[in-house]
Amino acid sequence: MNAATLFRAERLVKRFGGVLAVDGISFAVPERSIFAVIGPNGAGKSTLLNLLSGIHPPDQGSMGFAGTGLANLPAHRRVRLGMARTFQKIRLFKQLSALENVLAGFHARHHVPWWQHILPGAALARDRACCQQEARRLLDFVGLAERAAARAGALAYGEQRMLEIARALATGPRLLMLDEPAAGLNAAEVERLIERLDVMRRDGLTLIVVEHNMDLVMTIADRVLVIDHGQYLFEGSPAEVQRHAGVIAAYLGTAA
Amino acid sequence: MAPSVPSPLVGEGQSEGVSARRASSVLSFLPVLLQQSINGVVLGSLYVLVALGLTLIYGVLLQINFAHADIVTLGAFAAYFFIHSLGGGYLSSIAVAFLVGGALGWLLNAAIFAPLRERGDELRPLIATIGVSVLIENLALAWFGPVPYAFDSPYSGQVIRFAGAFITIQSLLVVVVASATIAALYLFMHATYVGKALRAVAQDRETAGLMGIDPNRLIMLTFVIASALAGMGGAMLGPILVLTPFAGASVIVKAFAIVIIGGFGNMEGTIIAGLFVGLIESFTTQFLDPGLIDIVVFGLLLATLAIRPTGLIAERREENV
Amino acid sequence: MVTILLIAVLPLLFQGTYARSILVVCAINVLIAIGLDIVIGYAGQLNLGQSAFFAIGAYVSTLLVTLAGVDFWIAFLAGTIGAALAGAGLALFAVRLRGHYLAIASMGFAIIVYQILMNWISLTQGPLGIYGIPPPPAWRVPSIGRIDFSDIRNFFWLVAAVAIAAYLLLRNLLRSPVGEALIALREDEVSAASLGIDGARWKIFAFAVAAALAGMAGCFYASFVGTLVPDAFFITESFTVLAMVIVGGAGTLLGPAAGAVLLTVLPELLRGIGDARLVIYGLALTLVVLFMPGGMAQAARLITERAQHRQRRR
Repeated sequence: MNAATLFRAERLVKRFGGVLAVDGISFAVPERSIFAVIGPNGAGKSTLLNLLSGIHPPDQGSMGFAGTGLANLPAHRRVRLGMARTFQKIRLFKQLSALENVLAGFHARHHVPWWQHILPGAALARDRACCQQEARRLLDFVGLAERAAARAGALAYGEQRMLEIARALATGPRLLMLDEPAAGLNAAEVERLIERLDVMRRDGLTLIVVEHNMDLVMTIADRVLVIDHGQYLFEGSPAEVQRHAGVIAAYLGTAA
Repeated sequence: MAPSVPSPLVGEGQSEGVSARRASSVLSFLPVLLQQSINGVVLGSLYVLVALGLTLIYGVLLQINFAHADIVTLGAFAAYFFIHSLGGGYLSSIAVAFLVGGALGWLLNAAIFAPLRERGDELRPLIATIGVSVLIENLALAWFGPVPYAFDSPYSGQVIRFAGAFITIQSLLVVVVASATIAALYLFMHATYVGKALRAVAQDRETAGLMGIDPNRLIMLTFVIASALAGMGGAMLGPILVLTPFAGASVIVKAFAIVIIGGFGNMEGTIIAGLFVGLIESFTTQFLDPGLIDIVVFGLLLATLAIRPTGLIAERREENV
Repeated sequence: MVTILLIAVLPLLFQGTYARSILVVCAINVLIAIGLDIVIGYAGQLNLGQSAFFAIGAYVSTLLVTLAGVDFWIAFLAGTIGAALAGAGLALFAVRLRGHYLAIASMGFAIIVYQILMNWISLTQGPLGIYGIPPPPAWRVPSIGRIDFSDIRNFFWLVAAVAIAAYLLLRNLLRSPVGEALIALREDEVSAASLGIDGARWKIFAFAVAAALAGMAGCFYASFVGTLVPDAFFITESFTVLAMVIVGGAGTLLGPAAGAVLLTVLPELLRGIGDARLVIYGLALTLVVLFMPGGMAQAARLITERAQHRQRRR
């Protein structure tokens, strides 16, 4: 509990059309931990993640990453700070191969003088070799080493989910935000995912996971934030959350 | 383009001293204002007819039909030949153009938009319609030749004068027919079941489908209506503009501007924007240079897009990822 | 390599001014087409403004040469940079626009440019045009002697050399991390942003490149034809280039180059049927989009796949 706070959100508010999707949410995520966000359908979880990753600016509230205020920093700049994410609806580059997808993730980390982009030289070659190696390592990490050349759109659903994670990892993040990574996965795949998340945490990564799958959340999360109708409901350890009456009511009360 | 009309009252009342002269020159300014306003409304009504079709299609299909312009042109030619080769009356030629437009719309949807809809590529239908447009325009050029056809309506010559301005019966006809059509369309969209279903499909295709509404049929209906409007617009444009294979093209670019300024898919906005553009055009013609019309209108368009990428009066459609 | 030699030999194979002129126009069109492919095929933006950049390049360089007596190559550079700046300007605008809006905005831009050229008579002489534009001044090369560019063969080799160089540099660019960024942008902009790719910056880059190449083509065009009228830069030219890119196969670079050649040569071959140039473009564009969206490149792929398949069966 003495770990430094890597990410902090304060009183975030976001409206879409007439709907108050996120209403005054605050939380802090300690480094090297897995922070889960749960809530019934339509609770505003994905919107929250979109705010955190910079896709939409919040109407009110602030966010900070490693002490730096995020203000209205656009998504692609947050990546350079060390924040990466995956999407609820899979957004892979379907026409590209698995390897090419992961390679795209290195965009922010290339070190090549500009002129070598049109007149290739040694630096470009070295960079390319380095990225290829690292990409394969990441594919291996998520269990897709054999499928490197396969077209991303042709992969099985579970494989696509893992590929998205590999691609996000390619950006070299300190904070990884996953939007329902277990959606559509069978029990065995979820087991595997849990195990990989654990490895990532041990390797020093911090994770924010929006999830519906209670098995995953209760097994792996260090802290859980429960939101409903865009509002803060409860935050605590997985055990505390399971016992909390308000949480139970929220889940049973709505026809989820 | 609408002819620029010099005020018939110029020179009147310039005798009694400076202040009186100034007052009377303001007075002589008014008829010009009125005339150009009338011209603007006439033009605007035509533009609205054409633009409404575009906005309807976009509202339902989220696609832009580049070939819309050519439906206007072909509608005009259909009306022309109905009158000159078949000896029909002008008013019925408008109806003919309406039907021809509808038929063309049916054809376009069946041949291009429907097959491409499944593939889910946003821009491919647009590109296809660009191809169709170029094809039709140049086939028409080969067929009809580049020499403008004199499309005279029996009403072009007759004129009503009042308050120092005038309006041809033809122009009056245009405004009346356009207004009636727009009103009918509005009623249709808001008061009938089919109309409401159309709007439902525009808002959310999936849900509408789940409620037993067949989106494909409705999309076809939208296309037919939109294109019929365009055809009719062509028939009424014929006597006012020059009738060449590119007649529609000259109007369509302004129609695009109107639809963007008014907001894609927004009927009310399109009507307001259409009249607005018509007025701008007539005033630009009178006070500046006719050659600058396109620049002014498009400058407005680009300015609108700069300020509000979804149009001035558009409904906010923010995408949740 | 072989292709380059083949291209170099072309003007010698075809005698006669007419045939050689077509070759030059081919080369010019290839320049515009591969430029546009960067924006459409790689960045995934529907840019209908190429005619404007073509015009800017042509007019800027021509006016500098005819009115200010500037050296051709400096004017060429100015025309290219001018076009590139205009392209970047349009892009700045376009970054916030979704596909359809961008298409119309770029069209609007092209029409505005055309109208300005038509109406700013004191500068451009309007519809009457500018006459007597000289070809690039002759070069004195030590061992070869004097290269005179009023000779069409030399002019062709010049433009072809520029086109080939542009093609090679672009191809390298597309294989580099920049190319990856553009492709990612085309596939899914939101996704690309989540990987640190700045959509706005790369769109502007792509537009500027496309505009620069069109501008270069414009300079050559003006210098080749010798007269400059605004009508040569009507919005239909944008549609023409679009057709070349789509028919050739967007996103393959080589496809649009081939498309440019095909759509330049084909109407000339069919001259007997009448001036059917635009009809062919319209027809080709429509058919390709409907039935073979990947264009000639896709067709070539299918043919080679089928041939390989048959070989394996044996």
